[in-house]
Formats: sequence, C-alpha cells, structure tokens
Amino acid sequence: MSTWLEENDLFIDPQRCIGCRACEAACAECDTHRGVPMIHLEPLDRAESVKTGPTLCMHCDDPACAAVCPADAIKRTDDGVVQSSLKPRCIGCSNCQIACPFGVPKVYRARAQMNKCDMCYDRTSVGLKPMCATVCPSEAIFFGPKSVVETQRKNKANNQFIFGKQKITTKVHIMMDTSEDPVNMDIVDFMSVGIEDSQPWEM
Amino acid sequence: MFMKLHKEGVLRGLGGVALLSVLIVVGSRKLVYFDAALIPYLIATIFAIFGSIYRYSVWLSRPPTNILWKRSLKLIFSKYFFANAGLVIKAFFENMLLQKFIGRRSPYRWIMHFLLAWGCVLGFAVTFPLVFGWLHFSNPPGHEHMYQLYIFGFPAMIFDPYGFIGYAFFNMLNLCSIMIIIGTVMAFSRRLMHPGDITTQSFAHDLLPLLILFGVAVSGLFLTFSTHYLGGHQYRILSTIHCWTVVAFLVYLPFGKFFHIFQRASQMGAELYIHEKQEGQLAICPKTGEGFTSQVQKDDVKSILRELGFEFEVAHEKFSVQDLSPQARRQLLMTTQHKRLKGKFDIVRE
Repeated sequence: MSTWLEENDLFIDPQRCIGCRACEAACAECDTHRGVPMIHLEPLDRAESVKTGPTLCMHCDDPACAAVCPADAIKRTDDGVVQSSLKPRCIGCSNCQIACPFGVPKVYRARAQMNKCDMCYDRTSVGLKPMCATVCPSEAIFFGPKSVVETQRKNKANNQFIFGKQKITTKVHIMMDTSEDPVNMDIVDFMSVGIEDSQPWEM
Repeated sequence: MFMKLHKEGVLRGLGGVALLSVLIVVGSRKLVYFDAALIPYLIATIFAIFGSIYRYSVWLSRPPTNILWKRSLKLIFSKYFFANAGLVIKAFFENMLLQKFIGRRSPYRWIMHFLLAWGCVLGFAVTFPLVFGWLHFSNPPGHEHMYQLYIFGFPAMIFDPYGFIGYAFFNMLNLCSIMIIIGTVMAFSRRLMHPGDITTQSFAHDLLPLLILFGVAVSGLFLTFSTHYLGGHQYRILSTIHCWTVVAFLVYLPFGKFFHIFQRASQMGAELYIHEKQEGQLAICPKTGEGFTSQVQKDDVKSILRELGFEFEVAHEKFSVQDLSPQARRQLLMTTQHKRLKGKFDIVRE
C-alpha cells in the first residue's frame, strides 16, 4: 500500500514565483527547524531582472550530500525524503553543502549543524502538505498527485537532471518543457551566458 | 555472513581486546585484585571494546570519513603544526569537554546533554578501573582507620574514608546517577513534547538509549538506598538488576546512539577545514566570484564523489557543478528552466 508521500510529490515552477516570500515565512513554522526558513528564495540576477525563484531540497534518490558526509549523518527515509542531518552526528564540516548539485544545504558553523528542507516531515508524514506549498499564492510550489499537475498545466513535471555525465533523479519535480528526457544542466553554457540573453520580452 | 565481515575491523577489535586483557592481568597484579563478582561487567565491556573498535574501523573505511581523517592528519603535521595542533586542542576543550556547540543549538539541550555526558564519563572513570582490578583500597599498616588507594597495584594516596575525599570516592557513582536521572528526564520530556523530535525520533535510536541510561542510574541508586536505609534488604536482586542494565548499556554501546561519543572526535577535522577556509586558499566560484569554501575541501569532496562513482565532471574537463558556489548552483536550475521554457509563463488550463 502506497503512503501519502508516495502518492504525492512536490512541484516547483520558478517561472511562477512572484517573490512574495510567503514560503520562507511558512517554512520557518516547520517544527523540525522552527524559526529558521530552509527555503532559498533569491533573485536570479538583480541587476537585469525582477525574476526570483525558490530552491528547496530536491530529495535525490541517491543524495550526494549523504554520500560525502563523513559522520554518516544524513539519512533518506523509505518514502524518499532526505532528512536534515542527525543532530548527534553532524559535525558541521560543510561537505554536504559543497557536494549538493542544487546548492541546498545550510550549514550553521556555531551550532556545528547542517539543516535543510525535509519536506516538512512533521506534516507530510501524517498526511498534510508542506508549509510552503500551502501558502504559495501562485502555486510556484505545489504539492499533490502528478496527475493533477499534468492535467492543470501545460509545462511538464521533470525530475531527472544531468550534471556532466551524472544523472540525478529526484523526488521533487521542476516544471519544464518536457518530462520525457532528463534536463541537461549545461554548466559551460551557464558560465558563458547571462540571464540578459534570454529575457522573455525578447523572445 | 562471515564473508561480509570487515577483516581489518575484526583484527583491530581483537587487538584491542588482547591489549585490554594484558592490561587487566598486569593492572590487577595477575588477577589478585580482580573481583570475580564483576565478571558479567567484564565480559560485556570486552564485547563493547571489540564492537566499538570494529564499528569505528568500518566507519573509518568509508571514503568521506577516511579522507577527513587523512586530511586532518596532513593539516596537523604540516608546517603550521603548532597553530593547527593548538586549534585541535582548543576545539577538543570547547566541543568535547564543554560541548559549547550544543548550547548554541539550545541552552536546555546543553544542560541535558552536559549532565548525561559527564554523568556517564565520570561513571566510566570510576567503574572501569574497578572492574579491571586497576584500583583497589586497603588499610595501610599503622593507619587502621584510614584507606589507601592502590593504582595498578602501586600504593597511592592515603585518605580518611569519612573525610571529603572518601566521601567523594564512595559517592561519585551516586552523583553520576543523579546527573543521569535529571538528564534523562529532561531528554524524555523533550522527546515526548517537542513536535519536531516526535516526528523524526525512533524507539531504537532515541528512546531505548534513554531507557537504558535511566535504568542504570535508578538501579544503581537503589543499591545505595538498600545499603544505607534498608540494611541491605534485597541487595542481591537489586545488584543483579543493576548488572543487567549495565550489560545492556555496554552491548548497545557500539551499535546504537551511544556510538556518537566516538564519532564526535571527527569534529576536530571539521574545525581544521573551517580554519583552512579562513586562512588558506579559497575556492572561487567562476560565476559569482565568491570564495565559498577552501580549495582543499572542495578538492577532497570532488575526489570522494569520484571514488563513490558519481560522474559530475563535464566531459573531458575537470570542471563540475561542485566548482560553482551554492548560490550559482541555485541560479543554474532557475536559468535552465527559464531558457528551456523560453521565458513563457505557464497558464492554467481551463
């Protein structure tokens, strides 16, 4: 029998983000890291664009953060959620932060601890939506069955990404132009081209 | 099953047990001062020593742990030996002895953990030497009302058993028990009431160790209570119960949550990495220009990923996403989506 977390997924569409920071405020209410938001909500390029986007943990099937942890402090639950570091084990070394291809973990040096989005496990493990998804007014962050997203939106939910030769499959989906092929995260192109080269009004 | 055993771990574990056995024979003067009534404790301790060394060996063989330790030793024994060794000693004092980082997580947790940690450490310091026969007491000739402490069979201090030192010696375990009982009650309260902990905790890893510690401390105090206030009533049963709780603790030690006592030492390595970021060469993100970590640590993480079979490198180049700062990586995802959708905002279908 599938669980609530297996039936539902988290979908992020940075194109829809209006930068209201409601997700950040709601995230800070999560009981596993109360008072501190785990969402990164940043402008893409403040000088060139008003565009913002939320970054949450992508909850990789084979998380690089856990693989490089010398203290073996990062665990993935059976229902696919990569948890924050275990408090008794985490030594705050930052290896996870350096390894994560999505730039997610936050390391607090004074506390010698890494925290990150755990998909509001206190809520999602008991059949509730993550805080961010409940408050996002533009549904840039959406939690629900994939079939619902596919019916309601033109863009496709994709959860496979290629970095170099490494394919990363994640529990969290990003809305893209295709759901068939893995998304190539072209670092070389990213390095050479700025956001100004792809402004929507120039299309 | 035995094919999966970590050979080095077994050998190191057996080596540790052999060394302990020799020290017990030597320290108890060929077992003359070894108390046979404490044999269950000894067997459990030997199991704990073997298990802890075995698990530590397995843990050290993991690529990230292995590289952290090797890098730590390299940084210590570098031309900055005195500065880095001083840093490690300072980190040991602050993180291991005072556990300051827990205080920054929460003052409540610090008090709780400090009581538990030092209650256990002081308890170990008293019980292990007694179990191994390394300590014993005797009346010194000519001072029948005094006690003499013998360490490894060598005469040491003479003290009045009814004076402060005697009181401290004979009540140290009572003090430890009180510290542990307060600590476990605080920990239980937190685990039963804090919604975040309730979500992520498990019985085996979080509640069982507290139950074991509570059992050891309470049954230990009952022994004192029976001696002083019940005239030794039911002492045998109480001592058997206490013995089994301690055996449970020692058997659980290598495999459960208590193993973090040994793992915590690697925090010294993390401090060296942090120091390297502050003083050494920085890894600069080619996109944002930000120095986001030390070059040494970035190279280490990339080599760990390679060793574990991750292929993040862009073909024919050594460049990978790990060369970008975390901020640039977040921008990479947004930019990729932006480009692939050609800036078109999605619309909700009717």
